[in-house]
Amino acid sequence: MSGDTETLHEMGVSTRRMSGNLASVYDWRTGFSSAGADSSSSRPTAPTRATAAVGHSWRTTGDVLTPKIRARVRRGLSKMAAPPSKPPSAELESKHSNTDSVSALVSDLAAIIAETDRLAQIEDSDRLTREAVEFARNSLGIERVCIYLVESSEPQVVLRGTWGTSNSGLTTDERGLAHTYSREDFEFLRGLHARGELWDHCLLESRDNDRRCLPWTREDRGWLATTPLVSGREVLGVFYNDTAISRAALDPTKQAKLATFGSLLAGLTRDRLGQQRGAVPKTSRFIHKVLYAGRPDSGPERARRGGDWLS
Amino acid sequence: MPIVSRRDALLRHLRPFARGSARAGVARAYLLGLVALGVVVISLIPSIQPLLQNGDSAVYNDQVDARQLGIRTTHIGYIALGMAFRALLPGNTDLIMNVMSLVVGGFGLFAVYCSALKLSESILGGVLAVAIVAAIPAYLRGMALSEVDVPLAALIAIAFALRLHARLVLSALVFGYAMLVSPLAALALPAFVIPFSTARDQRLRLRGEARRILIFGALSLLLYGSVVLLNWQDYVFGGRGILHAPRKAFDLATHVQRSLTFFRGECGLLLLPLGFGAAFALWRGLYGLVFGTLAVLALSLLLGERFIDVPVQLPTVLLAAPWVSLIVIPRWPWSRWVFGIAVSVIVVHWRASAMTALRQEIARLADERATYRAVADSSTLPVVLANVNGFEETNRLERIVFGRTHTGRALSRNEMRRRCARFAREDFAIWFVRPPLTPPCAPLGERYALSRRRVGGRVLGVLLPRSAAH
Repeated sequence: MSGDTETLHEMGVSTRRMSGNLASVYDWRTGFSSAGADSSSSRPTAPTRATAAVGHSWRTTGDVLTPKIRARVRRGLSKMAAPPSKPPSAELESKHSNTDSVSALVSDLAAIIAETDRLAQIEDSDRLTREAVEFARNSLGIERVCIYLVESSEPQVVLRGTWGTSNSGLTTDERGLAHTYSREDFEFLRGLHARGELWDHCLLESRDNDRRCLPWTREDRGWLATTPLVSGREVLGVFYNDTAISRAALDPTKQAKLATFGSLLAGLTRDRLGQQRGAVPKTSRFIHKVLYAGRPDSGPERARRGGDWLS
Repeated sequence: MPIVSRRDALLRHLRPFARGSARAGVARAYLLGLVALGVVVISLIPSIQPLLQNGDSAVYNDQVDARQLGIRTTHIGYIALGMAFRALLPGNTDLIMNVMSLVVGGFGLFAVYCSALKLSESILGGVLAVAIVAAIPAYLRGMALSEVDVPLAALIAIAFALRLHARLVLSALVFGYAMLVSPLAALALPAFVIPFSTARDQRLRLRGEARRILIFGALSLLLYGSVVLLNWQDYVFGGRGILHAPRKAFDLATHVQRSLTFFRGECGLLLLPLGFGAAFALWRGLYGLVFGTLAVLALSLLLGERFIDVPVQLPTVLLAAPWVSLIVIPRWPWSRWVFGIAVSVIVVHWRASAMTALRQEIARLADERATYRAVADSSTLPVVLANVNGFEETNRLERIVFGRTHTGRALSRNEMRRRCARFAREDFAIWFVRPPLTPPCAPLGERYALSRRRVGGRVLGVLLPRSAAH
């Protein structure tokens, strides 16, 4: 670096002024200093006031630099203008923090998988959704969260509540709550994962303007995130979550964890629903036996779809 | 058969109707009431079309279509009533719901007639009371275009008439059902308590009246409470639950202003006979009747006016209308002519303007329906409605075009911007409900071209995919 400075000094260019200017025009995004760029340089540079000033001083010195010298100058100036390298301790800390965050993420993902595995052993659907809500709140750090499952999709999409979180952070029973969901939004949720997104996030308008509010949200609403429980391109339900207690901003990391959990939970729910649909109640079995002397093997769902159960 | 029940303490001092309890006279009186009612209903039949009053009507009709009772349970009685009519009558749900409103509203008018007949023993008085209600624009509108308000007011009037006729159990059950149609029915409770507990000649039998009020309350609560208990979460915490229903902050001045606006706009000149009726009621010693209704008015003003877009004073008018019958005094035969003609002139004048306004609204809604049905029929591509304003228009247009609400295809300009990417990916016919006729975002501008189409007598702007436009 000293050699380059000396060369410049010999050329009659004030090194002090130059370095100050060059340091200030270093493009931190591209890592390339625009000060030394000549007219033949192919790399585009932003026309900042500092660049213009340097260019002017450059021109005043006359075009006396050979390409070789110019290259040397550029190398040297790049070094001068390079952002100060982190001290070894900071680098270490950064590495440590990276390692910590990765290990935290790994442990969270492990917890999610373990929890899903545990939930798979729960037979009662009510208990399953309740514990899923509590896990999302207590372990994933989602402030207010609830699960709504699709009750019917024709003629309207109706989502029925399961369990949720009260304003004081306690689990609430929301099984008596239901609401209709916009068909277009529902289709949007279905294609969310295919588009590489994990959740839908919207700022909520004041109640005066927006009467199509969710029953779950508070009067003083801020934002609401909707994370679909999708399995096999089928939306089985959604996680709604917000931070109405702390009024904190949306945390993408937490949302991503919730989406991961939601995806696993969706698979679980789908299996459960499949089992429920396949199961024929004893009464139905008896009636069927009496009426049709057949063996119901696929349940009423199949019959509704035109299956052979009642044919 | 005596018309005035022995148990009906309030009316004991009134002479029995038809002087001698002639059954034929009684039957004739009620038959005439039905004729008067028929005239009102027939005059409204041309207005009965598959139209929607507002966005709420659209979502309620959707629920009736889907037979979904578990949502918006604060109006579960209204939805159940609609479902019953839907099951009985063939045709379009929007039309059937309007027919339901007409029928229930008609029964409400008949109840007003019966109450007036009971109070005044005068057929003319009863007809005048019915004519007063049938001239109120909000009631006429609610009879032709379904909403919760008219069934609510009608059921309260029916319950009140039954209470006057000493049909305690039926009255309680009807009132309980009115509570299921809308919890705002609770505001009419004073009219069921005060008149019957303050009758002058009943003080000695106050305990008996208290018992009747208790029975009334218990039976109403049994019907109402049992249904609410089954749906308590949605009823309390749901989107239309009693804790979350859209309402304004309490402001007495605004409430007074809203009530005054209602009485001035909906009753206007009709307040004159109503005022006279109140004076005559007081003159005849029916203090409880007047104060009970005034208490309903005050309660509706204090508590009811917080709820936006609800004519909370409509039941008050129906409870007060029978007073008008009291201005026909049997002892003064001339009163029949003088007051009868005066009230008739006022009613005819007021009803004429109310009917004109109703016809204009029906014509406007029919035109809107025809236009947007044509929009739905003319497009081979999936339709999107752009630049739609607010909850009311969104749901109404969605119901007309798509046959259901909550499709997400009737959008404001901001919502269009938000979903631009979606609409820019696929082919739609994006119809502008109102200007500006410009694509709400650049990707739409690239994919779609604007053209103007004449549909249903209107020229609307439509964005069509450039490939389809040529």
